[in-house]
Amino acid sequence: MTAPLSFYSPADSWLHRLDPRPKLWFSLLGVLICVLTTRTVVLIGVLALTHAVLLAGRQPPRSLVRLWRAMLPILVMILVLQPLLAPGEGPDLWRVGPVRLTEAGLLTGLHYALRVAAGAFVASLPVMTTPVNTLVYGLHKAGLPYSWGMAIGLALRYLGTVGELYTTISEAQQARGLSFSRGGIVKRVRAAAPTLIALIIASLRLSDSLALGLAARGYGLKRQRTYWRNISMRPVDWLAVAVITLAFAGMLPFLR
Amino acid sequence: MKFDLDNPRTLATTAVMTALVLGLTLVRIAVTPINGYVHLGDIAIFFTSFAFGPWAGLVAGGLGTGLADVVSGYAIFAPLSLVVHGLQGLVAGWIVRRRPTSAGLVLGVLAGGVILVAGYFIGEAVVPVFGGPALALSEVPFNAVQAAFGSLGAVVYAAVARAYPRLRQTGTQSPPL
Repeated sequence: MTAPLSFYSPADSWLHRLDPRPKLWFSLLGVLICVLTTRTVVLIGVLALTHAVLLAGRQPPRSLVRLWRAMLPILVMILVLQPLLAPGEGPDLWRVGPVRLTEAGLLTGLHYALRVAAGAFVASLPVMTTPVNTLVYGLHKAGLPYSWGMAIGLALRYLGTVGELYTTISEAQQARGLSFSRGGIVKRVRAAAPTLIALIIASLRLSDSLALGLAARGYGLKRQRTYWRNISMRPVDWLAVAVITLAFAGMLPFLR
Repeated sequence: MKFDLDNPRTLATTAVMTALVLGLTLVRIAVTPINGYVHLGDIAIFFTSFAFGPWAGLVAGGLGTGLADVVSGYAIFAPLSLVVHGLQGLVAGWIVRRRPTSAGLVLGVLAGGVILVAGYFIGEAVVPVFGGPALALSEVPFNAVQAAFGSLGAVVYAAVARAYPRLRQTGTQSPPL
């Protein structure tokens, strides 16, 4: 469990201080635009806009590069396969048997790849600029039932604990001679089984104590909630919502 | 038992199982040198569906894999994973609840596997922002291997139920094995 556990990078900027709701609104509208448009120019526009907003919000460029790198295998796959699969009309640029390459095909490939890239950046903006807890809280404030938010928050909280359990168990088993990196596929998969079963049982025990803890704090008894730390929409947050709405509404006439 | 996230027991089980799916989705076991890997997430989804019923399977499967997408930079694919793996958990759990036998377990992983492969294919081919037809087609073999690997969830469930008899008391709908 060594994967990067979050794309969030802390910084002190207007973008990071913004209420989570305007950022989620930005993602929602941005993804909608990416789904609806048929023009590559609009996708480039959305991509450029998101980069501009992130950089203006003092988001470290390093994290943008990291996102590009994470997307790279998928983008390459689309760029290579889409033109070969659906060449489209026009003269061949290159041909071997039934496989042909045309300008139209290449442009379609680029279009699909840009769509994924634009969608990925728009959808990742809230995650990159907001701590996960604040984001879940924002979702709750935007109408997500409290218990659902609680499930998301607890799952993210317990990811670390489950990860530690996994490390402990697999180290203990490796110390007894189990190997995950030797042999063929079947052998590797078989090696994972004892770890997995032990991990599941340990997780079940963990959920027992979590259930006790929740019950002891009276979770689920009273539906009306009070909050220790509240967030509310400031004028600047409403301004952000207005600007975002106007910006994306302005793109509407150019979608097709 | 009704599935109610306001119940501390249900919330605790669902949340920890979601964390397990999320964590295991991020663990990649390489099978081929280039871009070929399987993850253990689907095994955890099937386990959750069989042990705790279709609704827990839906939440743990959908939310777990959706969050995995979000934290690894694939936020745009999160809605697709949410729907596909959620359905996978829901249907597998529903089948086993109706047929709490070994045959039901096999049927459950089969149906779940089909949903996994078909769901990603249809989603990516139809919704433009998920990559388009070429990507959808190229992922079919990878997802088929992933589904076959995930079907081990039935075996893992049987093994855990044997090694940890309490599962049948705490689990809402556990088939006798």
